[in-house]
Amino acid sequence: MQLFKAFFKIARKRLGATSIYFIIYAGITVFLSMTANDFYTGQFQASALTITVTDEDQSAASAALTDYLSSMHHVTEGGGDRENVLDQIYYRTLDYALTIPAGFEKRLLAGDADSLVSSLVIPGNTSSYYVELQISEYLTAVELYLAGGYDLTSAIELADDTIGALPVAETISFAKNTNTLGSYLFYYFQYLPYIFIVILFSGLAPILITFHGRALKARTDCSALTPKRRVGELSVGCILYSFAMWVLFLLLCLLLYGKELFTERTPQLAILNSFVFLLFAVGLTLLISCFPFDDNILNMVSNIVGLSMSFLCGVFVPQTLLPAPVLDVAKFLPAYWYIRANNMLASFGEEIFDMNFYWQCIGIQLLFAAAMFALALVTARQTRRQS
Amino acid sequence: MSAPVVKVENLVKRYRELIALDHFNLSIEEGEIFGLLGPNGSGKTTAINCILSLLAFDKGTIEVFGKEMRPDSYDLKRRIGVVMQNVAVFDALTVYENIDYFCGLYIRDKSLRRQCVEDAIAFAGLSEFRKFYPKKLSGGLLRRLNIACGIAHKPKLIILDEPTVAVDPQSRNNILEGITRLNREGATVIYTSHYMEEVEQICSRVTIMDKGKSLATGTTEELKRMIKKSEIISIDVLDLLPEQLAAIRALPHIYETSFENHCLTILCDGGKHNLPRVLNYLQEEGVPFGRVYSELPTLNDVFLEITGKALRD
Repeated sequence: MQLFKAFFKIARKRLGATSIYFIIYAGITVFLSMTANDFYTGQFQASALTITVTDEDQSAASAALTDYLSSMHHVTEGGGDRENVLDQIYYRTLDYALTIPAGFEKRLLAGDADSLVSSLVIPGNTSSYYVELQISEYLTAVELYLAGGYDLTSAIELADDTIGALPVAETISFAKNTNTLGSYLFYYFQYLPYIFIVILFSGLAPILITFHGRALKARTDCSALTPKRRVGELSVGCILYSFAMWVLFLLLCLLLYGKELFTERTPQLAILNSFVFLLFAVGLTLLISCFPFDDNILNMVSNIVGLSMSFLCGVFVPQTLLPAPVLDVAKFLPAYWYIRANNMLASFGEEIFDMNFYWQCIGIQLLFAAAMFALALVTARQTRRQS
Repeated sequence: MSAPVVKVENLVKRYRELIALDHFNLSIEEGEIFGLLGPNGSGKTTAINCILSLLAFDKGTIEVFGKEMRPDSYDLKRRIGVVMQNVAVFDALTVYENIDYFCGLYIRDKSLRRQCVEDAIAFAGLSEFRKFYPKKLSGGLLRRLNIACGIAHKPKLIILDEPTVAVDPQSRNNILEGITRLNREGATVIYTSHYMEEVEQICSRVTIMDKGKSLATGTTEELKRMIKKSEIISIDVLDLLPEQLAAIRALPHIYETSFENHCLTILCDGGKHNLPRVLNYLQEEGVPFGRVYSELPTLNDVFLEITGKALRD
């Protein structure tokens, strides 16, 4: 077991550099996953805006609209002249300026619904958009009751009741998997592809490159060690090294997020997903190890491969925010399928969990891994022939 | 008579159009320090790589310890130690760990291996540096480590491919003494080098090869006798007439004479008493002379005469 022992002696000597990567990346991952809020769906909450209402109609209908808005927002009457209102909007002391023109009630009763009110808003402000929706919703309700034969007072009362009684919208998921990956675990698993590539490139690849070095290899070839034993010992070293790194990350995850990591089904699927990606990362490392790169070039290659794959495939930026052409390219990279599966497990973005699609993602990653191993074998054979 | 330790017959190795070894022959007896000399690209390393089964060859036979050498001849490989031209050690392992690693490729028994490693460390004079990493060693120490890694398992055949390249004279001397000691302890050595004086100092027999062929084989004395030039006599003479120069040229065993800048140079092709014969003539002719030099041919002269003086890659 000389090669095997030497493998881990070299690994131990490089442990300092590798553990720095582990600590930094683990630290960043943990920080990001701990500080991560819940996903977008849980982040909306009603907020009261500052609204000024200039009532030029001074009618029962205009008063009712003002009262309706007052029930939800901070409403002040009048805002001074137009220039003053614009100044307030510019300095964000006012969110919305509503003008109810003279003749508002008359037009409402006549069923003339177009442009009943006018407003000044902060351009592109979504809050203003929601106020306009609320006004439109209220006026539509009143119009409906008026059209139904009710008088104005009754129509206003009924509209108030109707809008107040609207059911609270609740998000429901059509996914079969109701037990989704929590946001902490989601972020923890999200960054693993990058970490795997960087650590394997900086830790495992230099060891293999050392053993593949021309002079050392020739010396080993001259010895009484059979090629079968040599390949076997190096393979066991590779497997143990990669597996140990993966287990270390799982243990860290277990330490941070508790034992449901192994007891719940969804985290188990995330673990399997990470294991399959690990296989690809090991295959890629074996391929890289066929070339006599020094530490500096390896660092450069790991950054190029790790960062570009991560950015293209949505490790750092959610896939929902990436342009379609980028995603089209990313489909040819295994990290894309890893992230798709991870998104699906967490019901992140627009992903809906589908077990079949999960297995499809796993299968595609396995194909990539197999391709990498095959490519590494062919390249190693070719390099051996050339030397 | 026992079989040669290494026997190479009609070895042919081609790299596409280039013929690296052209019916190369070699026979090395047990207990020899055998020198393999040749200019760059002459095929020395190719021949050694073929002997070690690191390279496949096109034609010929190689026998080591009387058996055919094949890539899977692990029983034979176990008895061979190799010291490559390039230092082949692990930067991440200490001196002790490196020697232990390479020794472990041949010897599994831990206690025996430990003893072998200690012996190799003592042999190479690396006792003080056992915990040093290769990067902390000087060029000479690194070469000694390289040798220690190759001989730790106490092989019966040691192949050293230019082990003293870029080494200071003290380290070189130490290495050469070590090789002689290994030979005295029973190892047969194949030694390749560009340094003629090294080969002349330690090798019992030498093969000079060029363009993949073995051009001459023998002891250094035998090789020196093979070349025309066997002695160069230089004498400081104040003046010499052309007739006198011709008369000297006519003396036995003298094949070339020249007189330039008050220096008479005489090339002899063998024979004994050449110098007294010339000096007697000068005294008889009343030619006054000063300092007298007599140089016997070196292996370098043999090498240059056999392989030519044209520059190589």
